[in-house]
Amino acid sequence: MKSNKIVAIIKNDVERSIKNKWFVILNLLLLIVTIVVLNFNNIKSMFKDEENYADDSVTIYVQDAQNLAYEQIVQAFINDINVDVEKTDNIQNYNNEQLDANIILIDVQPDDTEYIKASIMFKDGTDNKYINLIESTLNSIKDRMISENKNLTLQEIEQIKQQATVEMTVIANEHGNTSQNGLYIISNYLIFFILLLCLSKIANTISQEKMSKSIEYILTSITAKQYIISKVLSVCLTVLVQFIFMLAYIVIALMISGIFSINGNYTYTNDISIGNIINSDVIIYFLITLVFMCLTVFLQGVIQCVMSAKTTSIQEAGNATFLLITINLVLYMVVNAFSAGSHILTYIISVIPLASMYFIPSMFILGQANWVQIVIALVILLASIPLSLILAQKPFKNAILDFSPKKNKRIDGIEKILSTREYQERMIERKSSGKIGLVIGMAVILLLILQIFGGIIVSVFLDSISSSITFISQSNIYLILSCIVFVISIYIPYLLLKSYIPKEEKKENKGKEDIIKCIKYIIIGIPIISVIQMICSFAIEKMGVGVDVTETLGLFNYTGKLSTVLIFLQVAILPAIFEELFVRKGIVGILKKKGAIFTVIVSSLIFATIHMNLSQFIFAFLVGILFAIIRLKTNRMYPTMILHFINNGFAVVEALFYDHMIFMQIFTYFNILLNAVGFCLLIYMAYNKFMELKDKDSIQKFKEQLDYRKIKLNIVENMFVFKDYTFLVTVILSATLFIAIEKVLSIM
Amino acid sequence: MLEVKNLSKFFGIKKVVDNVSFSVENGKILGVLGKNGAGKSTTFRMILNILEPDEGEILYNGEKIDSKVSDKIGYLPEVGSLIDSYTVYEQCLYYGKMKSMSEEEIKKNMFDLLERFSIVEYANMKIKELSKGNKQKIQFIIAILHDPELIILDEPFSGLDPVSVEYFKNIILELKEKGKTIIFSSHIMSQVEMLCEDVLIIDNGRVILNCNLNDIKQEYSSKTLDITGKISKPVLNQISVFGKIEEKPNNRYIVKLANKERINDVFRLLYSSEITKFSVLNVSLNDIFLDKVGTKYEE
Repeated sequence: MKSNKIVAIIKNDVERSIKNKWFVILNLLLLIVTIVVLNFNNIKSMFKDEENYADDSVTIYVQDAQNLAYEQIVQAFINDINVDVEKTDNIQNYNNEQLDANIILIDVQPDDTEYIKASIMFKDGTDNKYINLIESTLNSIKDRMISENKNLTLQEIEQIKQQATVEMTVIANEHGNTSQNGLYIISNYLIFFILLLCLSKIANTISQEKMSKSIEYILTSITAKQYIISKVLSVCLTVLVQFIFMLAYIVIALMISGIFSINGNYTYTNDISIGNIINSDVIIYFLITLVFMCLTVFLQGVIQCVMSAKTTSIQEAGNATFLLITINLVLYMVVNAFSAGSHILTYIISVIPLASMYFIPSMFILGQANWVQIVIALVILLASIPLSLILAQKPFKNAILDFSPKKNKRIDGIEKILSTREYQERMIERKSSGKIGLVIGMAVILLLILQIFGGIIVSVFLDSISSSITFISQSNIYLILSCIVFVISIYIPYLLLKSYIPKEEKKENKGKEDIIKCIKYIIIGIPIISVIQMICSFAIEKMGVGVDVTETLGLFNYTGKLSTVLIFLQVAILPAIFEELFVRKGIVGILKKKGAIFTVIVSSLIFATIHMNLSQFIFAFLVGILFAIIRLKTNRMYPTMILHFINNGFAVVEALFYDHMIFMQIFTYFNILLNAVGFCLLIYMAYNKFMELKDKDSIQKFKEQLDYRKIKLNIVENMFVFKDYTFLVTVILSATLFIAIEKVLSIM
Repeated sequence: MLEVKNLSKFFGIKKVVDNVSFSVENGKILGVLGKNGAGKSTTFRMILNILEPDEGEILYNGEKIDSKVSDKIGYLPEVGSLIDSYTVYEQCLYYGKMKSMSEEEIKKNMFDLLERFSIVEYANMKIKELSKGNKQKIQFIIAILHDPELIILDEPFSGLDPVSVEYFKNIILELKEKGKTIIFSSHIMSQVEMLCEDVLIIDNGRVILNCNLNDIKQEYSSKTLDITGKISKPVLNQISVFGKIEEKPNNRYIVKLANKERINDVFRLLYSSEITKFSVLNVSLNDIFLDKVGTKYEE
């Protein structure tokens, strides 16, 4: 009774997909295409008929002084009214250019060892059947001559020849002979085509059934497992029917070609004679391929069923198919990569279901597979089918009925929590956190990629550009181009970030009081940076990982006024503007609503990341914290820009003018003075703050601000920023970059 | 007899069906009432073995519902389960085969039912060409095509015109005469009222009420009085001891008694007042539903 239902579904589906106008249209098209392809020569000659009747007639000129073959050739073409066979003595008169498509030249000569030798000359495009006929005629002449000479019957000669051909195909070198390789490529393409057909059909039917909700009714009568079986089988059957139709079309086309062919009594044979390839190995190969293909298509069909059931539209169903096809492509490529040598890994992979369909037949045809391996693969594949059905059942059912598969224990009062506005708002907040992760991650990826590929492009085109621009030295052109790459690589991702900054964060503070506040922060920032610098250089020295960046940048190698200006531009001015825009305006602006601490940490991490080397990382991270705090406190851009400029500018000045003793001395004093002033102000402000905190009220206030539960919740919620795929890619990308760059720097 | 015992089902974190128990005797009609998302359809799906219950069990005539019993069950899903590209006959054929029917049976039963609805001309029309109401009729025909013993109808009247509702009603009553067990859900009370003897009210996945319709009506109606007339304050105060009084315009009072034995007491209290009307109210299922589901929210 149960199986009747499965049969009913299969019948229904197959009938419907065959008795369908699209199927008919496709098949008509296939029929026409097959006929045209297989009768191309006939059709060509048909059209020739109409245009120029005389063109169709072929003249065969035979130069045969000893009369070895002429008679026989005449005999062979006696039934063909289009062919004239003429004897000639001056075949050399025809040169290659003169030769028309309707002329065939044959030069027959006797030979001591080969008995008969012939050279046939014809223009490309001449119908192959004439050539084939001439060849076979010459062969039979040779056979007869041998039989006369050696006293052998024709059958004996036939036997000798056959043995020779068998011998030829059995000999196969390590990589298989070419015809078998071709066979294996063709059959793999065929498998691929069939797989694609099956999977897309399954995807379509399943998503259609889901959309129409008919599944709701059907599942009252049969189980999900039976449903999957019937769907996969019906699609496979449909494809099989299609295949049978294809075979029928080929036969029809061949028949038509037989009817149209001029002689009517011999069939068209291709250049590669099929008998040359077919032997017992090939037949077993086809059998193995067929068995593995059927089973694997079934298995993949089950997987496809589950994936398609999860989709909500036909379009998504297509994507699900694409996923499986990609897996298949990868497997196929892996096979091609591994099949050259026998490796224990190959052995293991080859018995895994899905992979075995590609591995086992190809290994067999290349003579690498043994029967034990084939049997193991087959058994595993067979076992995986019921297993997959059992596993697929539940997710399929849940997905196609659109039910949430997770079963959680009931939490007391969960309904109340679910129906609160706070909870729902938090859920929305989580989604927006994920989006922030996406945007920031994308911006950082973009920045790193642009910087790296920009650098590559600059170094590739540097020579050609500098050869056309002669009035600037190559090193300066390099500096200019690097500046341009730097600006572009930061500004484009900045634009992306900018479009995501909330409107209210874009406003900056204004007013006189505010300016004083900003100046204060700039002044106290200077000594703090100095301290950080000292700590970092100390730490780097201890750890022994760091490399002096100014040295690797090669700042000492540049001389000349233009270079000085350019280096100053590249190291001091541009980063101060653009890095600040990117990090302090873009990233801080986006993160601000997620809480101050979170913003400070994440933005400074990203600031450290975009410096792309480890020795700068710690320093940039610490300075980034300072800058982010200043940015949040003042809500303006220029304080951090100025601080960034001062920091970078000092480094450049030190590197560029290290040999100007007097200048350096003045510069050092100036530096110390700035630091001293800043330090004093810092102490003064810290003292003020301390006094303020002594006041009990403000301590209370401070404690109130530090609501631990809220902070904890905030951290949990903010973690959703990192739960984004793009962000993950960013982390992996920057981590690998760091390691790679560190290795390069250490070699230098 | 269909028995549902302590049925529960989670959708993720939410418990959509919460400890639901009820039973339907053979040859009876049970109306299931509930708001949108109350858990009616989920309960039906569990009865039909489309979904597995997380807790509890369902027995039909003492045995579990599985593929052996499924042929005896007819189902009209709430969401349209018809495939657009099929014709009506093809659809019946496909679903009929799912119920182990032969092609001849399907053809005969289908035409009989199409004639009942006088829509024989639709037999070879495609589903997508039909209106919503006609699709519903086809779904109904499919549900009872195989002459099932247990019929589950999820919102059978949605999208139907009054004439078709009448057809449906007659057929359902006819099926009941034949001894079929019928369960159907609706949120239109009048339809439930005209068909069922028993009602089951579900709210938030829980059974609020499960009893005979007449009994509950009796109980409710005998507890509410409709009095029109001039009643003095002291008398009203006295009456308010027995139940809640709602004052309506034109000297009309609705009295909801806590106990139906108090009717006589109220009547006696009114002997000195000028009473023009005194009646025991006949409540509709609608009132009961609102009362039950409403009070639940006040808790």
